[in-house]
Amino acid sequence: MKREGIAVGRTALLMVMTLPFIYPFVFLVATALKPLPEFNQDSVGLPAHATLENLSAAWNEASLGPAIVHSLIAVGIAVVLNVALSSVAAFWFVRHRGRLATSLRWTLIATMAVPAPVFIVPLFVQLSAWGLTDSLVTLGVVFAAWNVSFGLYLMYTFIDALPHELTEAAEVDGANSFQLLRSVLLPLSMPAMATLAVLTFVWSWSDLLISIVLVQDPSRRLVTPATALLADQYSTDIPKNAAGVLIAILPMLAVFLFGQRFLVRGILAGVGK
Amino acid sequence: MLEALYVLPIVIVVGVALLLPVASVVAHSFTDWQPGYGSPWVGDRNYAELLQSDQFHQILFNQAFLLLGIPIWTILPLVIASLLHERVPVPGVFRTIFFFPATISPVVIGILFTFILAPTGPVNASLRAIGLGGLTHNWLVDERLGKPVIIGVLAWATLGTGVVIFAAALSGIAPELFEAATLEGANWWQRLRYITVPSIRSVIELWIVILLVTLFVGVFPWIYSLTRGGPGYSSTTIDFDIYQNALTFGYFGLAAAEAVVLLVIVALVVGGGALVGRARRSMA
Amino acid sequence: MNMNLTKGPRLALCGIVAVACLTASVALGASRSQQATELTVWDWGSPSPASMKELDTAFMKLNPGITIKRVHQPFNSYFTLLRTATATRKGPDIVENYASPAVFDYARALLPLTSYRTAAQKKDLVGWNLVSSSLSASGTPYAMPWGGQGIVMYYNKRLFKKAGLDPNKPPKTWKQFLAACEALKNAGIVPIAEGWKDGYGAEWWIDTLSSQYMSPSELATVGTKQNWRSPAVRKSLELLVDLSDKGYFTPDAEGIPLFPDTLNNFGAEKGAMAIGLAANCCNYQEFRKAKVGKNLGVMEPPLVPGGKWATQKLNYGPGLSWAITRWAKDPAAAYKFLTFLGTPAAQKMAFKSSTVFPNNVKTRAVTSDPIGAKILAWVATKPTYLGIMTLMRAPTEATLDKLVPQIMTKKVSIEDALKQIQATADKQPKIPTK
Repeated sequence: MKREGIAVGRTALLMVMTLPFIYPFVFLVATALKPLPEFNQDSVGLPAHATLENLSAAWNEASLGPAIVHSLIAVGIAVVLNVALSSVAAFWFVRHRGRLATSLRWTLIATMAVPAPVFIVPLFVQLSAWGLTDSLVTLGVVFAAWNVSFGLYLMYTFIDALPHELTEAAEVDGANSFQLLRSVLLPLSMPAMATLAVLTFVWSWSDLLISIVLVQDPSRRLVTPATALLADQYSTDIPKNAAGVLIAILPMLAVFLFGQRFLVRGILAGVGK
Repeated sequence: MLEALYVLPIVIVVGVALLLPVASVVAHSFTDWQPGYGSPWVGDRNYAELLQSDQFHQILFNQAFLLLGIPIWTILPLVIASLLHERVPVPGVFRTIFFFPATISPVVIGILFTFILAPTGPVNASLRAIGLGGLTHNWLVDERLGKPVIIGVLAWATLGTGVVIFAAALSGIAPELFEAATLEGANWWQRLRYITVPSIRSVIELWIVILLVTLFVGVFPWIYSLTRGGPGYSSTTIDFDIYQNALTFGYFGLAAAEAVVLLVIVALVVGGGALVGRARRSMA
Repeated sequence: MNMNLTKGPRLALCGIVAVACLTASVALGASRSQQATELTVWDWGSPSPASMKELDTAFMKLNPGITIKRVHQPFNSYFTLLRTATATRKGPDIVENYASPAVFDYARALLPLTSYRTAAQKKDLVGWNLVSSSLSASGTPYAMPWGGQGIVMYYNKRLFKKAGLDPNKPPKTWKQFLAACEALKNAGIVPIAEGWKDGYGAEWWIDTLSSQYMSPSELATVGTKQNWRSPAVRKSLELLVDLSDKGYFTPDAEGIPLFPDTLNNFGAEKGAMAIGLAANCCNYQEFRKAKVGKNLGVMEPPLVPGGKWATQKLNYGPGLSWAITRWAKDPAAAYKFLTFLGTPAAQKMAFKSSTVFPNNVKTRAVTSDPIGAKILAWVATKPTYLGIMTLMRAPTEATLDKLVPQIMTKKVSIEDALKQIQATADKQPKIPTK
């Protein structure tokens, strides 16, 4: 009985804690559905005459359809590249602990500490000289590079925390490093890799500065820069702006919802004890 | 030796995309940098200008103040992830709700909160509605409140990511540990303190490092849309100042020097934190 | 006769045919590429894309060989993108900018227009001095000034009537202005819709108020010698703080930005007066679409107490500019487009579609809106001036904007604030002298 009481209390506490998160979301949706004249009179309440016209206006004005495709390409490349590079490199670093390797690891991880406004200008100048600007593929690679320091750190931490008996047992069985990586460590690292994939997706999708500098051709524009057009200094149409934001975040919420089951699998479930 | 192939791609990608530009920045911090054009050497003039400016001292103070948010930004997601790890209905739905802020671009979060915290916005309106009208403030334009409000908004924005990371870590702890503790009569708080935290210590450190780095290099989009660093310089952070100096004003040399100083500070803070962590661990 | 050609002549014939074909295709290709010039134009979405498209289409009809590719870049990233384009020397052929010394931040990227500008254009288009070296009309122009921008005050006739004020006789002197504010306040109406958070509202006030305290020589050099610690500027801020102390602005204005909240507030009739523009934004056309609609009135900003002018002048000058980048492949074609934009016909179109006031003195802009007509009449008849605000540059503006809320809430003294602003202004790179 007491157990159930605690469980109910726990759930109630969690529900209360979600309120500060639900409200802004509801507000965003309410604003997106509110006609502009109504918003100018009452910006806080629920819409009395909800309409879909803001959504379609935002969709058309900012060309959000193509923009979503562009974002999917660039961000998809970033996610695959980041997860692949980080996992494989983390595996290597876990097995190489020497002075040189550790210095290299810290140098790579230290690139997290470079603010985007700083590296974007020399990077852009160089990419421009090589003719690589306005390319979704280049952007994807840059996103990956920008996030790979975090990816390396995350994967290294997770792989390092795995029990050593597993790798020892596999090595005793004669597995080489590639088989070890593929058959033992990667499956066990699924929650970490899924987490990295989701975070890379979200961070790259919602980036503004790098996207807008590296892809200036409007026919290749990504989603977040496209919605920035609606949120301009001189724009007074807030409901349309909110509608753009709503459309922009829906793919990410979808990815997250779908990816949920990969994020928290019991790592040790099914492994021989 | 073939194993080196595992680490080569990452070195190449990071080397070209990040390390080379960083080297360029460091070199140019000693010049009057005009990207794409000749940049005359000025020695340490940029550094001198930076370190002598009152505004920079204010900015450093602001950054130090924001560090106070680290405990909040760590404990909240940890507690929530622990709660979700216990038997709760639809943990996935909860996680999605908490994660929603992470899907919104920081610039948009800034705009959203500018609205929510406006003088006639929902926060003040709710306070008035429940009779606490005396607590209403001009949240984003009061020098005393600027930084605490930013800590609050960052807590809101980063909570979901922390929950996701900690949830992944928690799922790796052997369930037997928890079962044994519960059988011995440990309550939720004791389980958290004696089993969870020690088991995922390295992930907690990871999260704190991420927070630190975000605080020093990734916070400028929030600052831009919430306060533009104002009123005055009371909410200006180093990375926002760098952004403004480089891209809004075109003072690239000064921004480069500032970026180098930032790198040094981050190295000191993270390095210092690591040393503290190692010392505590050897004492335990 | 035997028509079989022997090898040699056959080869020669093939060769001649081949060369002929080649020459023809090259000639055709060359002329086609001569005809098909594409000009990429960047703007930040104001004037509206729809109204600019009208102009683009009209130009392309007159110049079949030139295509205009217009790119709307988000305003908040626009100048960042200009900087990156400057660094790489690649990108657009034509860029929008303000008609002010702000243009010189990008002087490296902009093509001097001295050899392209005609004598007629120099005479007919107002504002060359603001985008030329040394801020002189005889200096080197880095852009072509386009469109006018003026500062006016809008008011709500219905709310005036409600407070017992004559809706057709808005206040002219400071005393009358204070009396009107007091009457509105007593009637429970917010006298002036205002917001200080982003600083722009204060900018417009300072421009109109401080200029009235300046001597003719100070006013004439307000661009080249920015003196923020001048008593004129200080007095204008003191007036604003006084108005604030008397409760004549929107409550908690320091937390409200001008864009878009203050403008929306005035439009929604949550304030009886608001300072606004006669330009492509924040203008009467926008307010006509809001609730204030047919109750809209326009007035001149009040005369300051102890000011130097007997009658009010009009704060008015060029607002925008178009520049050609140094890497543009076909500057002549680009300048054709600029020329078109500067013609009276184009400016008349722009005025009609998005209230871009003309800066070509030969334009006969027409409007059926009485407020628009009134402002046009002011432009034609009143002496105009430009204040310290119009001629400042980005770093100064950033410092000023962030200090405004603190000035209005008295957290920072006016003297202190002006000292900081002056320090920033002193640090800026000088205006080019050639």
